[in-house]
Amino acid sequence: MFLQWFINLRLAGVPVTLPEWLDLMRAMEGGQVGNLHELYGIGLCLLVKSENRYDDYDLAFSASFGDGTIPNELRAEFEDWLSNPKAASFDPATLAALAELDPDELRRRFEEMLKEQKERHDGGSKYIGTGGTSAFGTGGRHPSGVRIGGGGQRSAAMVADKRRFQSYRDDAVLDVRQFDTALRMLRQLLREGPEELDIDESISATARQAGEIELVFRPARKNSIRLLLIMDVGGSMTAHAQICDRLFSAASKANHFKSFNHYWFHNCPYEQLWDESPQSRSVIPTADILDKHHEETCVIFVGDACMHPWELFQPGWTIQRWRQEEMRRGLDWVEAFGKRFKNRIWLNPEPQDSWNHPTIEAIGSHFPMFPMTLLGLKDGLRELRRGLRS
Amino acid sequence: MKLPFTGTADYISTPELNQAVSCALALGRPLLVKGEPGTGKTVLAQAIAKALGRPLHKWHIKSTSQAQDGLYTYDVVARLNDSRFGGGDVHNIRHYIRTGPLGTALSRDEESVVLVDEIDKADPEFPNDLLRELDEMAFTIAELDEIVTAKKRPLVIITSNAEKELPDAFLRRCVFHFLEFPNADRMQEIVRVHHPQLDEGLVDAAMKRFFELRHRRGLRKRPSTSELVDWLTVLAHHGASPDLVAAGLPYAGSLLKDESDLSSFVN
Repeated sequence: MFLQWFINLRLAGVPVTLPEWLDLMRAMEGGQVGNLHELYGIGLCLLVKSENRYDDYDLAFSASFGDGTIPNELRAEFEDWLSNPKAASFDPATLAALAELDPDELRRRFEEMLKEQKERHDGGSKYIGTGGTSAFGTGGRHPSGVRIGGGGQRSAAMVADKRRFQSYRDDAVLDVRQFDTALRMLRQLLREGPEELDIDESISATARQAGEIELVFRPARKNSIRLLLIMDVGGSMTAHAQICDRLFSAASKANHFKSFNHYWFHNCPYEQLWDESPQSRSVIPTADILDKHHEETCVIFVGDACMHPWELFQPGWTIQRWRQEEMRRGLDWVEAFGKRFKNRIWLNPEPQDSWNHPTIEAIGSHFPMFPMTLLGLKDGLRELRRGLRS
Repeated sequence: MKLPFTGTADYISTPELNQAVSCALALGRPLLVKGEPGTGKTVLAQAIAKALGRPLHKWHIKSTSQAQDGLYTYDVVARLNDSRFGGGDVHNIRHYIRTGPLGTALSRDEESVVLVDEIDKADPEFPNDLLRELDEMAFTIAELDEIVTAKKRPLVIITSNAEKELPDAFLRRCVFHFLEFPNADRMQEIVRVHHPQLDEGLVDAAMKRFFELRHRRGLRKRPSTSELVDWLTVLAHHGASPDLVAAGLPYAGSLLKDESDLSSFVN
């Protein structure tokens, strides 16, 4: 059973390694574990090294020691889908009929239905979903229904089943502090600016002068990262305004960058971008931005990259005005950024499985694209950092 | 199983935390404590040292801290100065070696607790530089060609605000505990420990306002335990009534530390 637990943990995405597992064995030999509760606690502190993984740990624990409620591979889908409950109401007759189902029968049917059902479902009366009157799902109303994630086991499995660490998952959306923390990954310490005493050099210089003290100074280490943040606003991005705002406030607040600049565009970057804020309507030619910023600058674009193909592939097309004169395509501008800056990423707030769109793919060929989740952001920043080392 | 640490009179612990401490002691591994600022990570080390009856060596990490600082420093400038201007025994390097908090704990014969506070403030490579020392509980003084090995492994408690990710190799060697933000019941206990004399009605009203604030959307810096405790001190000092607290947010400055949060609340 224990080895199965190890396997379940790895399957659930908890990166347990052998040394940690051996530590657990040592702790058990040392009498640290007397019951299932203690096993849960010891496993929690020895096998999981980030609160982002606590929820996965809980799932793996209840899958190994409770009777696992939800098959792993279905979990993400369920999570996503159950997070948007829709309201429903029903008449007293249905209520009475539904009240009669007994728990075991419910569970049996629930499992059957899991096998049967393949898609998202809202508001119906049979399948698992949100807001419906089916006995299964969340946010719905059923007098004796099964709520996914709220199982009925006892003891430690019940603790694990509470899933109280769910809010720490790192594939969920981000708050300002998390952005802030992630942005600190961008550091490149170079010796620049104010000076500090170089002890080694001072000693050798002093020795060379036969003991006459000579103090040598050198510049202190400072972060040399320049950051350029370019964000899509309005239109289809309105839905993502809050998360973009959080990234912006984290980036503008971070004072560890050598320089930080930001611009806005709508839909696709064309020959000019908004300076200051989109409301101020003050614009700056894109070509100037390309010239002005050092080629080592880290560039982060944020946008859904999803538009009508014309807007990207047709010359002279902008959504604000439509001119016949010779103009570069939106894609040319994207490409220009790609050529100028080698450290660049594109953060896309749309879920990754909706990226099979021609304009997203075209932009993705010029920019490494990452989803705007904590995981995606970290992967993206890691990508930026890789460019810095080379 | 009997646990070596179950909290103290002024530190309210949780079963998971007690288990993590016991586990760290049994395995001789460092205990890494992570959590929001203001959840009592630093106080925890003091409480553990007190409960175990061991001396506490504190090492507060700064952005410029190097791993070496915690072990020992060789004051080469003082030696250079002594050799140039006289004074001190320049031939004995030992006079110019000063052990840091971790170095001191490792070189003493007694059992101790070492607090490495806010490890994430330092350079990202910092934890990696301590891997061997924390594994073997030993360090080398290169200038003396001497290896100092701890006779009694100290309990090393490391705190992190999660400002930076810590390296995997380092995490693998630690016992990890995440200090969750206390729920209302636990918060009540914590407040009682700090303000045993305070009027019940005032505490209830303040707690209610506090949790409302915590759950308010769009706050840049959510108030934490230490801010609640401070706020209660201020309220008590000014003799605020429960009604006043329920009606508004008196002395909001001790609760909300971000300018825009404060102004959004005032408006």
